Amino acid sequence: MGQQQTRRNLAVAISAAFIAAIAIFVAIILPAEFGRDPLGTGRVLGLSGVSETTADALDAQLEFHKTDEVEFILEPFQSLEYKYLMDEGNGLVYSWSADGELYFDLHAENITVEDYEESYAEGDAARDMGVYQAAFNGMHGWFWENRGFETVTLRFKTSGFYVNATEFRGGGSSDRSPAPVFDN
Amino acid sequence: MHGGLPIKHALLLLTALLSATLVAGAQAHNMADGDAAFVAGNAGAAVFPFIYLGAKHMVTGYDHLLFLAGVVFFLSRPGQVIQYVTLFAIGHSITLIAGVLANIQVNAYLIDAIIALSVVYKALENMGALQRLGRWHPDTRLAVLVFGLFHGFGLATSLQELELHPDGLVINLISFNVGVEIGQIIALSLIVAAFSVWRRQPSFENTAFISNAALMCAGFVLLIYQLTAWQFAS
Repeated sequence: MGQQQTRRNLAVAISAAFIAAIAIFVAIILPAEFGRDPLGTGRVLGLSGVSETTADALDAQLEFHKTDEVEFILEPFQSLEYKYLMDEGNGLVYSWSADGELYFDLHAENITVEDYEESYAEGDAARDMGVYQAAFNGMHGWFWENRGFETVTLRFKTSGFYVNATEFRGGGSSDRSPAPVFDN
Repeated sequence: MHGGLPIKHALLLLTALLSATLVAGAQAHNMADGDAAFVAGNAGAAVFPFIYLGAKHMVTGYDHLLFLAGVVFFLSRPGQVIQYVTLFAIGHSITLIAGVLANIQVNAYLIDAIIALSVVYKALENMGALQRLGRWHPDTRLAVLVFGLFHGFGLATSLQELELHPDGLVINLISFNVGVEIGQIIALSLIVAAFSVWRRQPSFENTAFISNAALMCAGFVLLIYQLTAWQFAS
């Protein structure tokens, strides 16, 4: 009789464990992890979409969307710097193209931490393009130098989220304020 | 008055187990993003980072922890604990190292499903189901060793997903394995301490059965989770 009893207890416990597992899975884990909600429990408990990772795909921006287009003439051994004031997380899309090879350095200077600079790409090229996102509050931009013997014309375009732009050339600097794509 | 106690204990344990399963389930027991980025960007031997990663993987690896909790459930003598855990360590070290070095690719979902089954199996064993339901009595030591082999494959697949750099691979692998054992010792000392306190309670005898049923339930949840994730992925 004792043998019979334990055998029944076992059968009940195992079945209960399995049924409880299915119930927990269907009611809680399926809506939270897999976005399926057959019983509507995910909606009731607010679990639907817990695991959705839209944050990675979308990066909303607070700064106004601006576009900027400039052309520079670089005579042999001339150099210039063109940088944007950007907050951490602000992004931009850029392209530049020159009719001769230039040395370039894409870098950023932190304005909250003194003497903190970071270089992201450098080399010799006649064109480059990409997507850039500011890792910290600061001045983010390009240094170009013409190391050849011919005058080079550089065309540069960006579209993105920055406050303003500054050109550093021959010891002086001048600010530019690219216009927002919409006025209001 | 006393009769209500075991059920309360069991309910507490069940809640703890399930919440642990759910919280940890959110990340499906892969490497955290930052750790993965570190490993992917690393070339050459990095002993301590890999020891750390191994220990972290074990301490936060709820499937390994549930199995270990099942293994030490009825082991009250330290010698027995060491014997079983050593068998488990030998098992998972063999397949962890061999799996990565020989670049054996196993389906991560299926291997994690087998690891979940090991939790179910251990709970069944603790409930005395294997002596009563069948004629065949599996050797509990052999079972721990064999399931250790599967746990090692699980460790190997989660490490392989990170595309380890060939420079310093062997040293990094051994460091990771050492870390896994350190993490296991840390986790086990907590588990064994908690069980030894619990075992002295008069309610232990009454709650042991239902607690293992809860452990089995957690194993089933993990099993269904991994099989579903596999279906969704393929």
